[in-house]
Amino acid sequence: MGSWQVQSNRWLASHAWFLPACGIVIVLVLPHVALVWRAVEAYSASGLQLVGHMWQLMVINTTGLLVVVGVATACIGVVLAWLLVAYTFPGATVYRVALLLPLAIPPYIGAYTYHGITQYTGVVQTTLRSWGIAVAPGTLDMMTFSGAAFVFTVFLFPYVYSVCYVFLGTRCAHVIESARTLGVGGVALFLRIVVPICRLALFSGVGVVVLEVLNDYGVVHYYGIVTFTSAVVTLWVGIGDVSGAIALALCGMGIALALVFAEQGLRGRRQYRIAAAKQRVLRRRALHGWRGVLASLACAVLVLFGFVVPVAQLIAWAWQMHVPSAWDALRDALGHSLLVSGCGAVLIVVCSVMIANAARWHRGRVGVLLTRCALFGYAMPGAVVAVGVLAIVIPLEDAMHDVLVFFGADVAHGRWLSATLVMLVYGLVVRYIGVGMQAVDAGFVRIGKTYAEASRALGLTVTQTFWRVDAPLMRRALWIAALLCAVDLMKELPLSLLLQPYNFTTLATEVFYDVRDERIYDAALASLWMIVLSVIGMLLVHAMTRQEQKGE
Amino acid sequence: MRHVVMAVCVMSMLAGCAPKEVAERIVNVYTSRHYAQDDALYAQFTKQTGIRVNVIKGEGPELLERLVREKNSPSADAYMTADAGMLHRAKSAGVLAPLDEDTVRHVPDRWRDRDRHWVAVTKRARVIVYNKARVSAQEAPQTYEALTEAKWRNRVLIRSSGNVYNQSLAASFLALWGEEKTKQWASGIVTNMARPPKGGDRDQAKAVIAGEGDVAVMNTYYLGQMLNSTDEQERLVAQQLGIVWPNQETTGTHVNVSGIGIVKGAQHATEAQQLIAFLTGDEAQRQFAATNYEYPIVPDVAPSELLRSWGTFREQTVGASVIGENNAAATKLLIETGWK
Repeated sequence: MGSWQVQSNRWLASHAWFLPACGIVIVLVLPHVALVWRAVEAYSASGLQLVGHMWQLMVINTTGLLVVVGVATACIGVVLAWLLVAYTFPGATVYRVALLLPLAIPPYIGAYTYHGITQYTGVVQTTLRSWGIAVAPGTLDMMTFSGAAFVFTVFLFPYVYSVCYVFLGTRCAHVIESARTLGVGGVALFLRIVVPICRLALFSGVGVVVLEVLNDYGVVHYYGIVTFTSAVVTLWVGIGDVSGAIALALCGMGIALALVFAEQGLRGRRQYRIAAAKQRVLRRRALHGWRGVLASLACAVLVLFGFVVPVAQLIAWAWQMHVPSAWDALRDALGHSLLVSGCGAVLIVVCSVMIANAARWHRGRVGVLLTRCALFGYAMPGAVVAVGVLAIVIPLEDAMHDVLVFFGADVAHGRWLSATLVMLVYGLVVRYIGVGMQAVDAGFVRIGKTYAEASRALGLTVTQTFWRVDAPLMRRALWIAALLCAVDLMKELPLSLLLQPYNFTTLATEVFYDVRDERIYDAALASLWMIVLSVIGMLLVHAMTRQEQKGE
Repeated sequence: MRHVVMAVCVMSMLAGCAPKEVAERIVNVYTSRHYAQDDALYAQFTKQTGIRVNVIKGEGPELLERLVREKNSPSADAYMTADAGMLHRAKSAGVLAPLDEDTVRHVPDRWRDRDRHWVAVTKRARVIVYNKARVSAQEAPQTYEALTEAKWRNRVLIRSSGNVYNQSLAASFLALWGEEKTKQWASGIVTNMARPPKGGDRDQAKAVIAGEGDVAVMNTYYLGQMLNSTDEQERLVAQQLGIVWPNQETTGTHVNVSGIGIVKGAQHATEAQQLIAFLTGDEAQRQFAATNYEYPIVPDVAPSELLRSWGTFREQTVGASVIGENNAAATKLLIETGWK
């Protein structure tokens, strides 16, 4: 009973979060290690050489899309956020919520819907024809580079808008009010104060948009645009070169992560602390006359294109189908979607809290490394992540079986991970932990460390501090994180498709089955259900964010 | 030591979730076909035999990756997918086992793998359609080769080289014509394209009627779907299309298949054999043909009324095996000619 045991107990207590967090990160990173192995195992250059035939197109289209969509969403997001934070104008209260709605529509559904609207048999051209106006073939074509950029922009800009809105609304009221008192106003205030001050929020929002565009396959494949991810899929689906596809995807992940970390590096050690003792909500000014109308119009256009138009078209298609029996088939899918996104979201939040809290108390590089490793999954196409998950889970099952047999157990080789929801949920956590981490991290930054440090100084352990101090303060932030993840998981496709257990369909897979067979009309009902559930999620997030702001 | 005991206990509990199947007979299927008709047939099979069919529906190549990973102890018993190229890929990956001769005896040789690793279930023809208002029946291209003639410059619509149906088409040409001529043909098509390839088969048909081009290559399956679409405008488009059965005087019209095989090491191989015999049997074949606009594989079963109304046609004699084997070379060739 020496001092050694006391010391080791103390060490264990102080690492009570750090060690499990390391464990979680290792489990989450394993699929990526497996991918490297899978890429090397059967690597041959021939597939990659073949894709090399299109490399120019691939590079031009990918960078083009990233730049155009990144800049467009950045401009739209920050301008709208500023308008709605700082001013009142006709309809502003509605727009504050309505501008989040485009996130409820996955871009691939948006792409099919917009093509459906504008194509030869679509409502626009048929109406014009009935008026005797002939549209020259190809003029209304959505299936172009600009069409894809449009689709990405109108469905992804809320990622930027929402981050900037929250940031501007809660964290810089004092700066802006001071600037106003000093006589800076209008455009000058926006360009000289607002944009620089919400630079970080802007970067993180655009970062999400960039990763979404980079890893999208649905839109670019259907619109026939050769990009990085479509090359990955060509290698895999077209040529059957899985290793080559993975190698290419890993390169992509490297570039994406380099960009993300470069941005974080630029930010450096600067931490933005709020100088004011109490955070204030900015007093809004009224926009009168044509300015008010213009602001209102700008918001209306985005809500219209990002939500109202595609939803209206989907409702029209669902109506046209008029098959009441479709509901029976959808009921299971609906239940499964809720189950998967619920389980996944809860697990993601738990893991995120473990990692973020460990990193928060663990100074130095290891803590940072933990949070960064969690981002890997989000920087890769979902289908590739799924391959990594398969390459971990299935050998694990085989090994488990061997161990049981070694101990003399007489059991069948049960696929108790891959034939159940375990594998799918694991895959979803690997892919979307980044989304949860971001939200949970934001929560921790928000509550600061002052109370927690006081609690530690009074002798409470990290765990006690978490339950007694942090958790009550974080309650809403955790709900927000869970809901954000649930909305993403609801729309998720490639992982659900590849890792699903038997006889298991979700709303997203139902949509996929119809859409792949070029029956977008039949997919309308499932799409609408998916959108309704996502909208409910988004509205809850919005309500909670507002409560949290008021609660300060 | 306590921990080790605990771990073993937990593991045995987990393993308890997967007890050895005793009573119920089942068959597990990985399929890339997502049709209501397939589900209906599985239900009938269960009714007839008492064997429950468990299904995972996904994409062919992805399900194959899952099969490859599960090689040591597969959970799937049968793998069903569209296109001979995909079936051949599964065979090459070593995940399929030969079918019993009895199971596939009634299927013509051309529609099954030479080593009986898979057998076709349905087939679809890849035809040429044209805008009846702008192209007369005499003028319409009568062969796949005719699509490369100078008069069709900027008038041909066809999907991307990533599409398996196009890969199979080129694979059949590799068998019939050899590499040089196939390459010339592919380059000719690329030159004559009305626009860069995009969208699905239906989109090619619509672009023909919209006037972006005048002729398109498409699958009979989608033509049937369009003619019976719930969307009135889509039906109108389909009605304005003329159909050509290409190469009737020469090598015949290209046909591609959906097929099924038994997974090597399958736990329910007997049940899987039964399912395959059922799907290639007369009753199932009749239903595929009647409701899914696909052609039956078995000679005794007649196609649906709609398909019969398009007339009979001569098929390519290239076996599905060969098309599968040529898939990789064909895809490479298409990409090299700049076919996006």
